[in-house]
Amino acid sequence: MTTPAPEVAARPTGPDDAALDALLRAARAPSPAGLALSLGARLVQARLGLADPPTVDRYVVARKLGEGGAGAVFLATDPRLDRPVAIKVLAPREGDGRGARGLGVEEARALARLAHPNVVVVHDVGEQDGQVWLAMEYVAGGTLREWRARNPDAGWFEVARHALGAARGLAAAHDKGLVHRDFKPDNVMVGDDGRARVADFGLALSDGQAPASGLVEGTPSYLPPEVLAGAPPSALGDQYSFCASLRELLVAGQGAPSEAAPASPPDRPPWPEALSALVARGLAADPPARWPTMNAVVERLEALVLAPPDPRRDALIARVRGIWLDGVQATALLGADPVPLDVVAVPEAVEHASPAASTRRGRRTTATLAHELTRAYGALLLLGGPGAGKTTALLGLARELLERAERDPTAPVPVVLNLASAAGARGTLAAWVADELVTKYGLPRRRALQWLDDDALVLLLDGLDEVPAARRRAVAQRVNAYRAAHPTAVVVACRDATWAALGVRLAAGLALRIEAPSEAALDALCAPPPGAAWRALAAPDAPRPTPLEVSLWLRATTTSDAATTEAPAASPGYDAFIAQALARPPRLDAPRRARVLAGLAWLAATMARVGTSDLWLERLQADWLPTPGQRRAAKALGVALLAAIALAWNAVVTELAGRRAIVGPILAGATVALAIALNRGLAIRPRERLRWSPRASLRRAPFLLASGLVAGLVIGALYIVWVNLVLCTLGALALAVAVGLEPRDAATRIRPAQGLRQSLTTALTVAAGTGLLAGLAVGYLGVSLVMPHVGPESTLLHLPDPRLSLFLSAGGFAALVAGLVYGGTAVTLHLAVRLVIAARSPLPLRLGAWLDRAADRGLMRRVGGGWMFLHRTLLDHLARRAEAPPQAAPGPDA
Amino acid sequence: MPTDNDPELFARWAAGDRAAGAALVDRHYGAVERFFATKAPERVEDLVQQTFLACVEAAGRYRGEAGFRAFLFGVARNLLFEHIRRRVRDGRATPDLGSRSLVDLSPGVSTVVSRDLAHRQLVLTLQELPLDLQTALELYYWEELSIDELAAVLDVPPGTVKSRLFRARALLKERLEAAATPVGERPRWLRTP
Repeated sequence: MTTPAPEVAARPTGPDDAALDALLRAARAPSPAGLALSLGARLVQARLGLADPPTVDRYVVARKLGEGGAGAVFLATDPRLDRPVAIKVLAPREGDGRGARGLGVEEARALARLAHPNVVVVHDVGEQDGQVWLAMEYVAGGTLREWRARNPDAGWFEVARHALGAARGLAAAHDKGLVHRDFKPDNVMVGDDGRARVADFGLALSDGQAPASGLVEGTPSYLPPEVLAGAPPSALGDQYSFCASLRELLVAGQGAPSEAAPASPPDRPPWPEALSALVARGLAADPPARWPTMNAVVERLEALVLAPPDPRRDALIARVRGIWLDGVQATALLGADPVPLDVVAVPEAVEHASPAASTRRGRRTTATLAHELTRAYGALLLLGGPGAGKTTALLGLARELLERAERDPTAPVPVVLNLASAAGARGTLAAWVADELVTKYGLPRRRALQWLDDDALVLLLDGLDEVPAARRRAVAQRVNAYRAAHPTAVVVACRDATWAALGVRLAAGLALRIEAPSEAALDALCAPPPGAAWRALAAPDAPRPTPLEVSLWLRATTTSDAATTEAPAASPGYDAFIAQALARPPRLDAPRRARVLAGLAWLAATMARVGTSDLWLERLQADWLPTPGQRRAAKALGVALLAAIALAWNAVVTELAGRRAIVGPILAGATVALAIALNRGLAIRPRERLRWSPRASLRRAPFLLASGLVAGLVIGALYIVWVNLVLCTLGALALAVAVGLEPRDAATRIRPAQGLRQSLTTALTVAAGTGLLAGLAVGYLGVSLVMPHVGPESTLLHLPDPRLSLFLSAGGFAALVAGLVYGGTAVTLHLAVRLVIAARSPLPLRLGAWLDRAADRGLMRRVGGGWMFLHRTLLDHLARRAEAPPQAAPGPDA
Repeated sequence: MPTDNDPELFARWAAGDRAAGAALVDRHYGAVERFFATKAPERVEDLVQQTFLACVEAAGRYRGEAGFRAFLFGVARNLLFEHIRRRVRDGRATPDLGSRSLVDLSPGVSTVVSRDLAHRQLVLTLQELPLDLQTALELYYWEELSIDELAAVLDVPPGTVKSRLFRARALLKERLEAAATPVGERPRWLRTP
């Protein structure tokens, strides 16, 4: 093995035949000679039962861990201390001045004295069969190079963090007078605990390394130039090697240019200037020009890596995790082993599709998707049929990106948004995104805009197919416009057919269609024949099937090519599946089962008609009811309930306050009208937490001022005109200010109907507050001006003071209005709808509990504070049933 | 190294003589390890072990015409193919695995153990050749198998072996030439010094 390796890349053309022969012969693999070879052979013998396990000194060798330039490494056990050690057998050296051992006893002793968390501890050293061996601390994990290969999309921050550990180890060794002489990423171990440890000190090899850099493109050398010129290794030389390694690791994550987005790669590398400066100085050719010691390098790395945490960012991460990952059951799928998705590129959905992208096809885990998204393409479009797994993939992506954001403070934070509400938003998508960030994630507006501009967020946009058809194209175009103006990475999930029908292409990105699971995946799950599979899924004691399992089962049982059509051709299995689910304990008798089934069908039909796949009680509307008659009934009932509340309240107040009876009904009517007007119709809008927005106040101020003036005139006609006018105007102004209170969606929707509960609380709170204020204002401030000749006429109470009466009536009136406007209307109208549903559909009044029971049976699942059917196709199936109930099933009652 | 009494050792091992088995392993361990190191570096130990095990289990099928080493590498080749088929998505669908290259089948097989960069470059280029061609070159040059032995390993007539070697060398030369040309434009900070 003494033939020197010929220099391949020194010539512009390849070798001729004779040279090729010589090259091939000479490049025979570094066969583990001597001790390593015999250890390897003995291990195989031991496994085959032909010999005892080999030993090195007292250490019993268990297996080979790997092979490096310096020699082979084996895992062994120290029987005396009963702990694992790594035994490194150094390759035998031939004829270099240092003799057969590169490591002298002195050096070994010095190494043994070096105890530092970032240095692999050396326990023992010896010689066997003419070769030197070292017994070291066993670090489970791998080298830094392997870590980088496994995590190509880890950001500069994580690389720098590991480098900091290695730098500390090097610095500690230098402080003890030791020089590494051969620092490179293969000599840094990264344990499972994430701690970097430097290994192989002083085992410098001067043979076999490429003499100078650049001879073979893409593989740098770590040897400092002065050492190549013949100078002895030094601490500054180690620094050079360290910086060369760091640079290589940073650059290694960039990927080949041909894979990148068509936009040219940026001129600046994606890591801070300070890091570039650190590396550049450490790579100075002249040793004195480098940093004075490794400690200086350590300091600078610490400044970059140990940055103070950002509490807002941490809060955002926690919120995303709380809403989307913890509350949604679907992510149970994405626990330990991410399911690989079969994807194929869809270049026609994208503009400027790069040629490499159009031929992509294959398996992707969500980790790979995350990598592709953020590294190369900037925008990702996920297409697929219903139930193909787009939302699951999106949430899996969110989880991956979130974990990365937690590890790396410089990585962008993912936020999941549903485009359904973008349809109604005016203005650009950026404004809508900012609003969503403010209302749904609780970010201050300024911060949200800043982060959007700084590319500190990744937007995961789901629900394009939930946008009303007429607005879809506009929304898609706005996404493109947004992409053009902002550097934020964006993922859009959409149904295949929906996107194709839009006629819009995503601007510059990658589009992937998630295909139905492959045969192999099916084999894995449906090993028994398909019939048995669904029986197994629906068996009474089987665990609840996950949506993915249902997808796979569907694929196995549907007869047509379900991957390309929107709906499966036939799901006779679903009926049986549902029947099995209903047969689970707690037991139901036949009429009850039929009623539950009818209720599910009714629900599914409604959800299909409305176009939503998840059901949140807060979002229930009168317009969701199936027939116009029912809708009118619900609305009328709602208004009637409002009127009843107003009348009753006014009656009570009138009785208590002693006002004239006739005012009651008028006031009630006016109140209801005002409430409905301010609610902008009879849609149910839950008012949850409130936030004041001056713009909203200003918008409604004119209307309210006008109302105030009118009211003032009316009341003034009964009493003294101008003072009442003034008071009413002032009151209207106050109302305008109050009306600026905007609803803000609850931060985390976890409990069902939480929105409604909060609406009620808000209503009562605001009512009490407003009532108090208004009562005080009118009753005690305005009394002397307003109503001089009114006396107590109460039949229930004898009020000593007319002002108290005014306090009660004015306060009562204001409380009623405020309560209704700030949530009372929503709760009342919702109650009306629920009453109609209970009367006219198979569903009961206590809907929440009923839905929970359906979820327990496995037909639905809880999603945060709402419910979804187990699978979109189950919803479709049930909806079809509702329209054309099969003859075989027993008819539902009522 | 003397291999004449390989068949005898093998027969004794198949009959239960452990020392004979140990001696055989000692003799051929390095070669088998080299075989797998360039094609399945992440599972070398396991595959080497399985090879020897499979050999003794298939001892009945050993005729002895082409020599023990040919038998050994034939078994190794089969195990390699089985290993690849399990790992690679289309593996089962490909009848003639020998005509595909490692790079083609499982991109990412680049954890080559190398003592120097030229060697590493060569092995990486070898991995771009179809598996059977890569095997032929390695066994011919590194283990110095004869044409007849190679024919037994690859399960083709000796004439085919010669033409395959010829083709393999031509391909290798072509690839080495291609690799020697500079990579295209990259941004400054991406280029190595």
